[in-house]
Amino acid sequence: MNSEQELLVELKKGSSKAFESLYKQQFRMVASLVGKMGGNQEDIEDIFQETLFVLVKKIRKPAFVLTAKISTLMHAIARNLWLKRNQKDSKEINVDDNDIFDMDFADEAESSGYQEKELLIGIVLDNINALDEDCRKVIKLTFLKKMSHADVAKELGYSLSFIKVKKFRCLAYLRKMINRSPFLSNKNL
Amino acid sequence: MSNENTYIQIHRFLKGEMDKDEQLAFEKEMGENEILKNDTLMENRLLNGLNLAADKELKNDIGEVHQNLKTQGFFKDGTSDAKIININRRNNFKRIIAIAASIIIIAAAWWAINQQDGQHAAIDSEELFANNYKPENQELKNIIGNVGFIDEDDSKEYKLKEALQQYENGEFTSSLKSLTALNEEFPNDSEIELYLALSHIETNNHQAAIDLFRPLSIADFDLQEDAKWYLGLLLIKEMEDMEETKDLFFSLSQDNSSKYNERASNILQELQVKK
Repeated sequence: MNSEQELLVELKKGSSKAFESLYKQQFRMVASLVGKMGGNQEDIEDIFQETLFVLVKKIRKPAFVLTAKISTLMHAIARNLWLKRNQKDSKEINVDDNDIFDMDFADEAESSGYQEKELLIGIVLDNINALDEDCRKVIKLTFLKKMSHADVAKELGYSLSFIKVKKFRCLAYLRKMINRSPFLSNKNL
Repeated sequence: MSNENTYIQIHRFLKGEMDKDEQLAFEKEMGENEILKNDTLMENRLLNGLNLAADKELKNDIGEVHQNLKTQGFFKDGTSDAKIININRRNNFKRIIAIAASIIIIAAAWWAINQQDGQHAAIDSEELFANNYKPENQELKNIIGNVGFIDEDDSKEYKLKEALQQYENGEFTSSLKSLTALNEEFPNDSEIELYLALSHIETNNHQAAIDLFRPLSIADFDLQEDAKWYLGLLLIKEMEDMEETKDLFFSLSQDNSSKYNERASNILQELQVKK
């Protein structure tokens, strides 16, 4: 990948090559940062994965604009994740300067209703996989990869208007299938 | 069940895309229409499920890459670190050979100094940085002066002049803001990136400055030597890769036309003596 923009596009798609490229380019920086703050090898690996997760979630948001180098964003995210992880022991640390980055990854595992969430995820993914191939692709690219209609149209070789209609129809199928799910009828999900 | 248009409205409501009046009207209708209320709740669950599934897939994808790299030994006993250093070293092989040769020659001369003072104090990175770093005002004066009378419609030059004026006046938060906006508007402009990095130094965001200076220090542009100089100083201050630091000051010390030539030699000397 030659430029940051190209890397950004590939990261948005969740391309494994892009992830690998970031490991090779930025792991050392995160290792040095977390290492300096007292983290061990396991912490470093965890923080790096979480950093990638938060980064990709950020860049998939429609309003995201790249205003700094990807390495700078990763540095800020990794630092915040580490501080957040250790905040109980480091109450004096001020993280305000970087609070633009949500800490969704770390928070999630701690949140309640974990099993219910896992059940819902399982039902959604099973039903997506039961859709016909075209619908499956449209739903995955639109809702799981968070790609824009224009990018989905380009990726699948259809017109923009076709994709908009297709997305709505596929979502209607998925809705129908999920709402019929016996597991959901008695659960407050 | 609601029709397609209603679902468009439900999505807008759930995503918070409605204005206040629309939202109130929608909520009122939900209160009166049980089907709409039920469909909205179900749709919320569906969209929530899709978001959770997206997160899970992303985590799985990252985890898979992580596992593959682990299998390849990327993380084993810090080999990821070593690997990267080795790649860099291969890329810089010729330069390092040149540095090594010079260091041998210089070391012979410094040996006498070492023998005399006999002290091998650790590098005082803060002191070395403080003694050598100063905001880049002279070069700015030249640039601002050269920009001269420019048309306000000549957007880039005008905005750059404005931002540099803020920097020169010591209004670093403002210059940082202006240069960040300029960098967005004109990406990959080395000059803008350099002054943005300088503003980062003044606002104590050294890592952001390092990230900007690194590519600039090998870029082909008029201020490359400035990028090398400031990157070197920051690496000292942040106690980062000493090989890279010495490499930067060595190349400046070898360039007789560089305004940093003498100062770089002095720093290099200190780094060698006090290692």
